[in-house]
Amino acid sequence: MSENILEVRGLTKEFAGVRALDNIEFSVEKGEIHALMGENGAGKSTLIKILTGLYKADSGKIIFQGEERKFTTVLSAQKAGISTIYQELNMIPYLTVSENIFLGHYPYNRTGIDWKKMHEDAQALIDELGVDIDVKKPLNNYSTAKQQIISIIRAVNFNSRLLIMDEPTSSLDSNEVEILFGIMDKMKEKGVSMIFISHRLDEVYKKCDRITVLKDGRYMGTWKTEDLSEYELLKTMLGKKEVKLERTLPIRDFSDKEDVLEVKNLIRVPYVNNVSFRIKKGEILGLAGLLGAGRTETARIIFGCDHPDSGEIYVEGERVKIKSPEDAIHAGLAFCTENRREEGIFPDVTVQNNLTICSLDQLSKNGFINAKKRRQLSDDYIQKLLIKTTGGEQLIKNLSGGNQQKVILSRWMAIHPKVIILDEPTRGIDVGAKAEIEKLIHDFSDNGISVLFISSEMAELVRNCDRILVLRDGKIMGELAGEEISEKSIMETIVTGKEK
Amino acid sequence: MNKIKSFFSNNIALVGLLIVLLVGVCVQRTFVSPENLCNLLRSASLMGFIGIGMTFVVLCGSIDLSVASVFALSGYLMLNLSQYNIVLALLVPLLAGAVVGFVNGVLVEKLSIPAFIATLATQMFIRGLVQMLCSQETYKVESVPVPILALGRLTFGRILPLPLILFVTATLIVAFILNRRFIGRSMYIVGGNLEAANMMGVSVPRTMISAHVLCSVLTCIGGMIYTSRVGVASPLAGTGYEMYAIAAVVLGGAKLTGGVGKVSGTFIGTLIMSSFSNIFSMQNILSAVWSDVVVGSVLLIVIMVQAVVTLYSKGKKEA
Repeated sequence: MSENILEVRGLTKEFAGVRALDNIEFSVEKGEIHALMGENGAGKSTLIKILTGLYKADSGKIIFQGEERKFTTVLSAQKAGISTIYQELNMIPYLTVSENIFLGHYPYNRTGIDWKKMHEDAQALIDELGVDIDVKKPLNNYSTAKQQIISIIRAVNFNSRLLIMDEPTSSLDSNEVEILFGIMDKMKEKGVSMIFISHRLDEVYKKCDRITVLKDGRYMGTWKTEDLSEYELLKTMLGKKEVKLERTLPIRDFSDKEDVLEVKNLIRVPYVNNVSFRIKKGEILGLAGLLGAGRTETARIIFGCDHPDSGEIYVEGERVKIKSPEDAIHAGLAFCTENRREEGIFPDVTVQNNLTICSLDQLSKNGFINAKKRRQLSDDYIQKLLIKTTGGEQLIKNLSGGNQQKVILSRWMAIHPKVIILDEPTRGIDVGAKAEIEKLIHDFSDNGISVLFISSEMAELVRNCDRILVLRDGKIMGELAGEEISEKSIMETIVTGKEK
Repeated sequence: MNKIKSFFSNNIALVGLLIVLLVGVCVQRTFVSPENLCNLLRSASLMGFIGIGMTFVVLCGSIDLSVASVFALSGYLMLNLSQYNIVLALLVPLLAGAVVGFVNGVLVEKLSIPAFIATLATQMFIRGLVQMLCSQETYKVESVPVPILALGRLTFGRILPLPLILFVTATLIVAFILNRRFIGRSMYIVGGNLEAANMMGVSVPRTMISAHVLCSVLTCIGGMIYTSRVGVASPLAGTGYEMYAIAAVVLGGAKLTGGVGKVSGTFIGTLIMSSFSNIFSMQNILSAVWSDVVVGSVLLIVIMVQAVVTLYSKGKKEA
């Protein structure tokens, strides 16, 4: 079992001078399930995109089945035997299961496509795996898990020897994950190799033979699963020695303050599993955890972007029904999204319009916007937050990431929320602007606004939070407060939980 | 029970047709007379060619508004050339149609111009061209050759018009292309998931352009039969037919976003649309000005039923 199906040597890739991948070494054995781990920006997706022909590496070699290969298109990688199973499936929802399996390799008879043979062959492939699927039904009749299984069957039937599974389990419930794992075992018996990407540690430890960790575009090492403890894994993935970890926030006591936001038993299968917490007035509560631990998902539910299966939300002691972000804003909440470009800014609109978009009510009289007041409001915040712009009339897309973020924060400050949810507010922002944004978070708190702070950078949480909730797979593993908060304690809580 | 349910949800169009036919019989007994049915099917055939052509385009997730004036152009070309050479009179319009379809396909696919705008522009351009060619009058020729006249007027055994035979044949060929040839399946794939089509090595440009070419060529056949039937080429022939064709395709169960639809559905959709106008011309309860109001309402009802059925079946996915 020591034959390598894939070897990656010295792979390097730069984007506009930034090294996304730096001299990566990595190999996958025949018939193994190999976990690829790393947080945001670790370089996982860049590596995968190079392996599947979407990107070209600047330097380095890919040796697949003993031959050096350079893939220029997805199709060429597929033909060589590397297929990717995405969580967003790349199949045709309306066509039958059998057609999705045989697409591009239709069996023909004398007159044309031989549907009978296609259905029979497809059903045989499905039955061999013991899954209950009728191949004559449209693909979108089936759940995501089954669609994923179908896409695996398609890939293997396509003669794939290496399957790259990019977070295949992130939207599956536990039963579905078991079905998928069963199929993975069967593929393994057939000698198919798999690169498995997941942020659920349990799955990685249950299913994978070896683990490779990437961090900030660098290769951190490969271990046999049994030789690497969960804690060591987290330390390798997350730990940063060079960053200073001192709290910038004094230890504060909120016991005499009133609750501003309370969340009770929030459930949204399979992302959020019974999450409850409260935030006091002016308190900064951090949410820690790996990607996919349910932090953003919780925030989106609170703000009405997604709907929970069950759970209750209280603002200042009163039960609120939040069905949409509009309701959330009326209840006194604000939400600064992690996807600034897609969900935050209106790129082709001016700074002033971006900044005042949520406060038009207070700027209007009889349905007419008071242009003078609007300019005033926008100019005030540009000055107060030191937003670097040529003026309110500049298009926001021409600002730097940090300044865009300040505009978004101003947008929410202008509506005077009771609670602001900040999801990765410093992502993609340079160091100087990061410090300014961290200071703004403290300003929120000083003005009596409670903050729910989500960040993948543990150091950021350690520096800026009064209290931290640690999540794993949608569940709260424990709560850390005051002096307990440290990088180490967060990681330990992720691994073992913490008794309250 | 489940089988019956799925039969109905897959064949709403057929149910619709039955209802329309029933209404027809109630309104006027002679609706089902052989002569009237023959008339109905003949007029359905003319429109039907545009509809089955449009099916290709809609499956790809595109749309073609230029068919209305391509319809008129083909008639003019055929009539004009019939004075010189019958073979040319039959071939040149088809070729012209293919060129228009190719241009549409390139505009939509290669230049990424929204199909609605691109084909609206070609529609206007060609309509203007036909009006110039006809000098804005109905175009007549001294004597139309018999084979050309036969195209739209020949009827076998009093009740089987040649246009209907051609239409049914064309529908069967289209069904064969869509079900049994790779290019046909490509249209479902491109319309169903563009990104996946690319990743699976399906050529999106080739598929898109083929669909537009086929659509225009089929429209030309319809235009030629129509012109043969009326014996003259009107510069305004086919005005509004693009919408009738799209309506027929949608009634047949196709999705305008692409990837879903059957030519058999379009066939039935066409029959529904033609039955409307036929029934309307036979009754004297409502005056003719109400025609479009009724067509529009019925169309809305059918589409609403489809939408509800889709929503309902989406709710219960199998595990």
